[in-house]
Amino acid sequence: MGAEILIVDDEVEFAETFAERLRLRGFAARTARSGEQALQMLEEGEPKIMVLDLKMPGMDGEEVLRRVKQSRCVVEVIILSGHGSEMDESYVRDLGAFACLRKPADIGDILEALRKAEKLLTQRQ
Amino acid sequence: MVKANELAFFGKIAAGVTHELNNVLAVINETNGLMADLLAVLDKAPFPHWEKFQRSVKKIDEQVQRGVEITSGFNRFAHSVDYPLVDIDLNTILTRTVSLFRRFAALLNVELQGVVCDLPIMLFTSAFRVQMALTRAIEAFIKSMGGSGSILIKVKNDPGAPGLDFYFGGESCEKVSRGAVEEFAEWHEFEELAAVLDIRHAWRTSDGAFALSFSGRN
Repeated sequence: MGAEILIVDDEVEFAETFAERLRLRGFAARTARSGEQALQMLEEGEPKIMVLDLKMPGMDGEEVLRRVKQSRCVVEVIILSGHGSEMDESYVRDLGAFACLRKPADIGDILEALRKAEKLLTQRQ
Repeated sequence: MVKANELAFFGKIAAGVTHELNNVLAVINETNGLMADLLAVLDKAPFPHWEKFQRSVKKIDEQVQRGVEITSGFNRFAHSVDYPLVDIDLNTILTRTVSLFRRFAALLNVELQGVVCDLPIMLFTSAFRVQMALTRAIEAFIKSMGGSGSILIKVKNDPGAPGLDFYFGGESCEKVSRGAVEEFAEWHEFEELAAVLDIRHAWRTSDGAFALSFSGRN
Protein backbone atom coordinates (compact mmCIF):
# COMPACT_ATOMS: atom_id res chain seq x y z
CA MET A 1 0.00 0.00 0.00
CA GLY A 2 1.32 3.44 -0.96
CA ALA A 3 1.35 6.49 1.31
CA GLU A 4 -1.86 8.04 2.58
CA ILE A 5 -2.83 10.95 0.40
CA LEU A 6 -5.34 13.72 1.04
CA ILE A 7 -6.74 15.48 -2.04
CA VAL A 8 -8.04 18.95 -1.20
CA ASP A 9 -10.24 20.44 -3.90
CA ASP A 10 -13.68 22.07 -4.01
CA GLU A 11 -14.24 20.45 -7.44
CA VAL A 12 -15.81 17.32 -5.96
CA GLU A 13 -16.07 15.44 -9.28
CA PHE A 14 -12.39 16.00 -9.91
CA ALA A 15 -11.26 15.07 -6.39
CA GLU A 16 -13.33 11.86 -6.19
CA THR A 17 -12.31 10.59 -9.63
CA PHE A 18 -8.67 11.45 -9.03
CA ALA A 19 -8.79 9.65 -5.65
CA GLU A 20 -10.27 6.59 -7.33
CA ARG A 21 -7.44 6.53 -9.87
CA LEU A 22 -4.86 6.74 -7.08
CA ARG A 23 -6.59 3.92 -5.16
CA LEU A 24 -6.39 1.76 -8.30
CA ARG A 25 -2.62 2.34 -8.10
CA GLY A 26 -2.38 1.26 -4.48
CA PHE A 27 -2.46 4.59 -2.66
CA ALA A 28 -4.79 5.24 0.27
CA ALA A 29 -6.46 8.37 -1.06
CA ARG A 30 -9.07 10.49 0.71
CA THR A 31 -10.67 13.79 -0.23
CA ALA A 32 -11.52 17.08 1.45
CA ARG A 33 -13.69 19.69 -0.28
CA SER A 34 -12.38 22.73 1.58
CA GLY A 35 -9.28 24.03 3.32
CA GLU A 36 -11.05 23.96 6.68
CA GLN A 37 -12.05 20.30 6.24
CA ALA A 38 -8.50 19.42 5.19
CA LEU A 39 -6.99 20.93 8.35
CA GLN A 40 -9.55 19.10 10.48
CA MET A 41 -8.68 15.81 8.78
CA LEU A 42 -5.00 16.51 9.42
CA GLU A 43 -5.71 16.79 13.14
CA GLU A 44 -7.74 13.57 13.18
CA GLY A 45 -5.32 11.39 11.28
CA GLU A 46 -2.15 12.13 9.48
CA PRO A 47 -1.93 11.88 5.73
CA LYS A 48 1.65 11.91 4.53
CA ILE A 49 1.04 13.77 1.31
CA MET A 50 -1.48 16.48 0.51
CA VAL A 51 -2.50 17.30 -3.07
CA LEU A 52 -3.85 20.81 -2.78
CA ASP A 53 -5.81 23.14 -5.07
CA LEU A 54 -5.01 26.86 -4.74
CA LYS A 55 -8.30 28.63 -5.35
CA MET A 56 -11.12 27.43 -3.12
CA PRO A 57 -14.02 29.17 -1.43
CA GLY A 58 -13.30 30.00 2.22
CA MET A 59 -9.73 29.20 3.19
CA ASP A 60 -7.67 29.07 0.00
CA GLY A 61 -4.82 26.69 -0.78
CA GLU A 62 -2.14 29.23 0.02
CA GLU A 63 -3.44 29.63 3.58
CA VAL A 64 -3.80 25.85 4.01
CA LEU A 65 -0.19 25.40 2.86
CA ARG A 66 1.03 28.09 5.25
CA ARG A 67 -0.80 26.50 8.21
CA VAL A 68 0.38 22.98 7.36
CA LYS A 69 3.98 24.15 7.20
CA GLN A 70 3.63 26.02 10.52
CA SER A 71 2.15 22.93 12.21
CA ARG A 72 4.05 19.95 13.58
CA CYS A 73 2.59 17.66 10.93
CA VAL A 74 5.12 16.02 8.64
CA VAL A 75 3.24 16.44 5.39
CA GLU A 76 4.54 17.07 1.91
CA VAL A 77 2.24 19.30 -0.11
CA ILE A 78 1.85 19.06 -3.88
CA ILE A 79 0.00 21.97 -5.45
CA LEU A 80 -2.34 20.93 -8.27
CA SER A 81 -4.24 23.89 -9.62
CA GLY A 82 -5.86 25.23 -12.77
CA HIS A 83 -4.90 28.69 -11.55
CA GLY A 84 -1.57 30.35 -11.31
CA SER A 85 1.27 31.70 -13.31
CA GLU A 86 4.98 30.96 -13.19
CA MET A 87 5.28 33.60 -10.49
CA ASP A 88 2.75 31.81 -8.27
CA GLU A 89 4.76 28.61 -8.66
CA SER A 90 7.95 30.07 -7.21
CA TYR A 91 5.87 31.74 -4.49
CA VAL A 92 4.20 28.51 -3.29
CA ARG A 93 7.53 26.71 -3.44
CA ASP A 94 8.95 29.38 -1.15
CA LEU A 95 6.03 28.71 1.19
CA GLY A 96 7.14 25.07 1.36
CA ALA A 97 5.25 23.25 -1.39
CA PHE A 98 7.09 20.12 -2.50
CA ALA A 99 5.93 20.35 -6.13
CA CYS A 100 3.62 22.41 -8.24
CA LEU A 101 1.59 20.93 -11.12
CA ARG A 102 -0.89 22.52 -13.45
CA LYS A 103 -4.40 21.09 -13.98
CA PRO A 104 -5.18 19.04 -15.95
CA ALA A 105 -2.00 17.12 -15.19
CA ASP A 106 -0.77 13.88 -16.66
CA ILE A 107 -1.22 10.98 -14.21
CA GLY A 108 2.42 10.01 -14.88
CA ASP A 109 3.65 13.42 -13.72
CA ILE A 110 1.47 13.23 -10.61
CA LEU A 111 2.69 9.73 -9.76
CA GLU A 112 6.30 10.84 -10.19
CA ALA A 113 5.76 13.74 -7.77
CA LEU A 114 4.01 11.41 -5.29
CA ARG A 115 6.85 8.86 -5.41
CA LYS A 116 9.46 11.56 -4.89
CA ALA A 117 7.50 12.95 -1.93
CA GLU A 118 7.18 9.41 -0.50
CA LYS A 119 10.93 8.89 -0.86
CA LEU A 120 11.69 12.16 0.91
CA LEU A 121 9.36 11.23 3.77
CA THR A 122 11.03 7.81 4.10
CA GLN A 123 14.49 9.40 4.20
CA ARG A 124 13.36 11.71 7.00
CA GLN A 125 12.08 8.87 9.19
CA MET B 1 -7.90 53.85 -27.32
CA VAL B 2 -8.36 51.35 -24.51
CA LYS B 3 -7.16 52.63 -21.13
CA ALA B 4 -4.59 50.63 -19.16
CA ASN B 5 -7.06 49.87 -16.35
CA GLU B 6 -9.66 48.68 -18.87
CA LEU B 7 -7.08 46.39 -20.44
CA ALA B 8 -6.08 45.08 -17.01
CA PHE B 9 -9.77 44.38 -16.26
CA PHE B 10 -10.16 42.52 -19.54
CA GLY B 11 -6.99 40.53 -18.79
CA LYS B 12 -8.23 39.62 -15.31
CA ILE B 13 -11.59 38.35 -16.57
CA ALA B 14 -10.01 36.48 -19.49
CA ALA B 15 -7.44 34.85 -17.17
CA GLY B 16 -10.24 33.84 -14.77
CA VAL B 17 -12.24 32.22 -17.57
CA THR B 18 -9.23 30.21 -18.81
CA HIS B 19 -8.59 29.04 -15.24
CA GLU B 20 -12.15 27.79 -15.00
CA LEU B 21 -11.86 26.08 -18.38
CA ASN B 22 -8.77 24.30 -17.02
CA ASN B 23 -10.90 22.99 -14.16
CA VAL B 24 -13.48 21.69 -16.66
CA LEU B 25 -10.72 20.04 -18.70
CA ALA B 26 -9.29 18.54 -15.51
CA VAL B 27 -12.60 16.82 -14.67
CA ILE B 28 -12.88 15.47 -18.25
CA ASN B 29 -9.23 14.39 -18.12
CA GLU B 30 -9.59 12.47 -14.84
CA THR B 31 -12.90 10.85 -15.84
CA ASN B 32 -11.42 9.78 -19.15
CA GLY B 33 -8.28 8.61 -17.34
CA LEU B 34 -10.39 6.47 -15.03
CA MET B 35 -12.10 4.87 -18.06
CA ALA B 36 -8.65 4.20 -19.56
CA ASP B 37 -7.51 2.62 -16.27
CA LEU B 38 -10.58 0.35 -16.18
CA LEU B 39 -10.16 -0.64 -19.84
CA ALA B 40 -6.54 -1.53 -19.12
CA VAL B 41 -7.65 -3.75 -16.21
CA LEU B 42 -10.20 -5.44 -18.49
CA ASP B 43 -7.85 -6.03 -21.42
CA LYS B 44 -7.44 -9.70 -20.44
CA ALA B 45 -11.17 -10.26 -20.83
CA PRO B 46 -12.32 -7.68 -23.37
CA PHE B 47 -16.06 -7.10 -23.75
CA PRO B 48 -17.85 -6.33 -27.08
CA HIS B 49 -16.57 -3.11 -28.71
CA TRP B 50 -13.67 -2.90 -26.25
CA GLU B 51 -11.38 -1.51 -28.98
CA LYS B 52 -13.92 1.18 -29.89
CA PHE B 53 -14.04 2.29 -26.26
CA GLN B 54 -10.26 2.38 -26.16
CA ARG B 55 -10.07 4.46 -29.36
CA SER B 56 -12.70 6.85 -27.99
CA VAL B 57 -10.72 7.29 -24.77
CA LYS B 58 -7.62 8.10 -26.82
CA LYS B 59 -9.53 10.66 -28.90
CA ILE B 60 -10.90 12.37 -25.77
CA ASP B 61 -7.37 12.49 -24.36
CA GLU B 62 -6.04 14.11 -27.55
CA GLN B 63 -8.80 16.72 -27.50
CA VAL B 64 -8.16 17.47 -23.82
CA GLN B 65 -4.48 18.08 -24.65
CA ARG B 66 -5.57 20.34 -27.53
CA GLY B 67 -7.88 22.23 -25.18
CA VAL B 68 -5.08 22.61 -22.63
CA GLU B 69 -2.77 24.04 -25.28
CA ILE B 70 -5.39 26.59 -26.34
CA THR B 71 -6.37 27.66 -22.83
CA SER B 72 -2.73 27.83 -21.68
CA GLY B 73 -1.82 30.02 -24.64
CA PHE B 74 -4.76 32.31 -24.03
CA ASN B 75 -4.10 32.39 -20.30
CA ARG B 76 -0.50 33.52 -20.85
CA PHE B 77 -1.74 36.14 -23.29
CA ALA B 78 -4.31 37.38 -20.77
CA HIS B 79 -1.58 37.63 -18.10
CA SER B 80 0.63 39.64 -20.47
CA VAL B 81 -1.32 42.77 -19.49
CA ASP B 82 -0.64 42.26 -15.75
CA TYR B 83 2.44 44.50 -15.80
CA PRO B 84 3.16 47.39 -18.20
CA LEU B 85 6.82 46.36 -18.52
CA VAL B 86 8.43 42.99 -17.78
CA ASP B 87 11.66 41.10 -18.32
CA ILE B 88 10.74 38.61 -21.00
CA ASP B 89 12.56 36.26 -23.36
CA LEU B 90 12.13 37.10 -27.05
CA ASN B 91 11.86 33.34 -27.72
CA THR B 92 8.85 33.21 -25.39
CA ILE B 93 7.20 36.18 -27.10
CA LEU B 94 7.60 34.53 -30.50
CA THR B 95 6.36 31.13 -29.32
CA ARG B 96 3.26 32.67 -27.72
CA THR B 97 2.48 34.88 -30.71
CA VAL B 98 2.79 32.03 -33.21
CA SER B 99 0.78 29.70 -31.00
CA LEU B 100 -2.08 32.22 -30.70
CA PHE B 101 -2.07 33.37 -34.30
CA ARG B 102 -1.38 30.10 -36.16
CA ARG B 103 -5.06 29.21 -36.38
CA PHE B 104 -6.03 32.63 -37.80
CA ALA B 105 -3.28 32.33 -40.41
CA ALA B 106 -4.34 28.77 -41.32
CA LEU B 107 -7.89 29.96 -41.99
CA LEU B 108 -6.39 32.21 -44.69
CA ASN B 109 -4.26 29.34 -46.06
CA VAL B 110 -1.03 30.69 -44.61
CA GLU B 111 1.24 28.46 -42.57
CA LEU B 112 2.85 30.32 -39.69
CA GLN B 113 5.99 28.94 -38.07
CA GLY B 114 8.39 30.21 -35.43
CA VAL B 115 11.98 29.14 -34.87
CA VAL B 116 13.50 30.03 -31.51
CA CYS B 117 17.20 30.12 -30.64
CA ASP B 118 18.98 28.07 -27.98
CA LEU B 119 19.84 30.99 -25.74
CA PRO B 120 17.38 33.22 -23.89
CA ILE B 121 17.25 36.78 -25.25
CA MET B 122 15.94 38.96 -22.48
CA LEU B 123 14.08 42.18 -23.21
CA PHE B 124 12.58 44.67 -20.79
CA THR B 125 9.42 45.63 -22.60
CA SER B 126 5.63 45.48 -22.80
CA ALA B 127 4.93 41.83 -23.63
CA PHE B 128 1.36 42.65 -24.63
CA ARG B 129 2.34 45.47 -26.99
CA VAL B 130 5.14 43.50 -28.64
CA GLN B 131 2.72 40.62 -29.28
CA MET B 132 0.23 43.10 -30.69
CA ALA B 133 2.88 44.68 -32.95
CA LEU B 134 3.94 41.26 -34.25
CA THR B 135 0.39 40.12 -34.96
CA ARG B 136 -0.41 43.41 -36.72
CA ALA B 137 2.62 42.94 -38.99
CA ILE B 138 1.70 39.30 -39.64
CA GLU B 139 -1.87 40.32 -40.51
CA ALA B 140 -0.55 42.85 -43.04
CA PHE B 141 1.76 40.22 -44.57
CA ILE B 142 -1.10 37.73 -44.85
CA LYS B 143 -3.42 40.33 -46.41
CA SER B 144 -0.77 41.34 -48.93
CA MET B 145 -0.26 37.68 -49.89
CA GLY B 146 -3.94 37.36 -50.71
CA GLY B 147 -3.50 33.62 -51.20
CA SER B 148 -1.72 30.56 -49.84
CA GLY B 149 1.82 30.73 -48.55
CA SER B 150 3.97 30.50 -45.47
CA ILE B 151 5.64 32.83 -43.02
CA LEU B 152 8.66 31.63 -41.08
CA ILE B 153 9.81 33.81 -38.19
CA LYS B 154 13.27 33.20 -36.77
CA VAL B 155 14.77 34.62 -33.62
CA LYS B 156 18.08 36.31 -34.38
CA ASN B 157 20.61 36.40 -31.55
CA ASP B 158 22.55 39.39 -32.76
CA PRO B 159 24.63 40.83 -29.88
CA GLY B 160 23.46 44.36 -29.16
CA ALA B 161 20.43 44.14 -31.45
CA PRO B 162 18.45 40.93 -31.02
CA GLY B 163 15.61 40.56 -33.44
CA LEU B 164 13.31 38.56 -35.63
CA ASP B 165 13.65 37.71 -39.32
CA PHE B 166 10.51 37.04 -41.37
CA TYR B 167 10.83 34.77 -44.42
CA PHE B 168 8.01 34.36 -46.92
CA GLY B 169 7.38 31.22 -48.93
CA GLY B 170 4.79 29.52 -51.10
CA GLU B 171 2.68 30.60 -54.06
CA SER B 172 1.87 34.15 -52.95
CA CYS B 173 5.14 35.06 -51.22
CA GLU B 174 6.30 37.37 -54.00
CA LYS B 175 3.35 39.66 -53.37
CA VAL B 176 4.72 40.62 -49.94
CA SER B 177 6.62 43.88 -50.26
CA ARG B 178 7.03 47.26 -48.60
CA GLY B 179 4.53 48.85 -51.00
CA ALA B 180 1.96 46.07 -50.64
CA VAL B 181 1.79 46.02 -46.83
CA GLU B 182 1.49 49.80 -46.61
CA GLU B 183 -1.99 49.55 -48.09
CA PHE B 184 -3.32 47.98 -44.91
CA ALA B 185 -4.37 49.69 -41.65
CA GLU B 186 -2.75 46.84 -39.67
CA TRP B 187 0.65 47.85 -41.05
CA HIS B 188 0.24 51.44 -39.86
CA GLU B 189 -0.74 50.16 -36.41
CA PHE B 190 2.40 48.00 -36.46
CA GLU B 191 4.54 51.01 -37.37
CA GLU B 192 3.02 53.12 -34.58
CA LEU B 193 3.63 50.37 -32.02
CA ALA B 194 7.16 49.75 -33.32
CA ALA B 195 7.96 53.44 -32.87
CA VAL B 196 6.66 53.41 -29.27
CA LEU B 197 8.50 50.17 -28.45
CA ASP B 198 11.73 51.26 -30.19
CA ILE B 199 11.62 48.32 -32.60
CA ARG B 200 13.58 49.05 -35.77
CA HIS B 201 12.49 47.37 -38.99
CA ALA B 202 13.81 47.01 -42.52
CA TRP B 203 13.35 45.01 -45.71
CA ARG B 204 16.47 43.09 -46.68
CA THR B 205 17.22 43.17 -50.39
CA SER B 206 19.64 40.21 -50.30
CA ASP B 207 16.99 37.58 -49.45
CA GLY B 208 13.67 39.49 -49.40
CA ALA B 209 13.29 38.94 -45.67
CA PHE B 210 11.76 41.46 -43.29
CA ALA B 211 13.91 42.14 -40.23
CA LEU B 212 12.99 43.52 -36.80
CA SER B 213 15.52 44.49 -34.15
CA PHE B 214 14.81 45.31 -30.51
CA SER B 215 16.70 47.77 -28.40
CA GLY B 216 15.56 45.91 -25.27
CA ARG B 217 15.25 49.17 -23.31
CA ASN B 218 11.57 49.91 -24.04
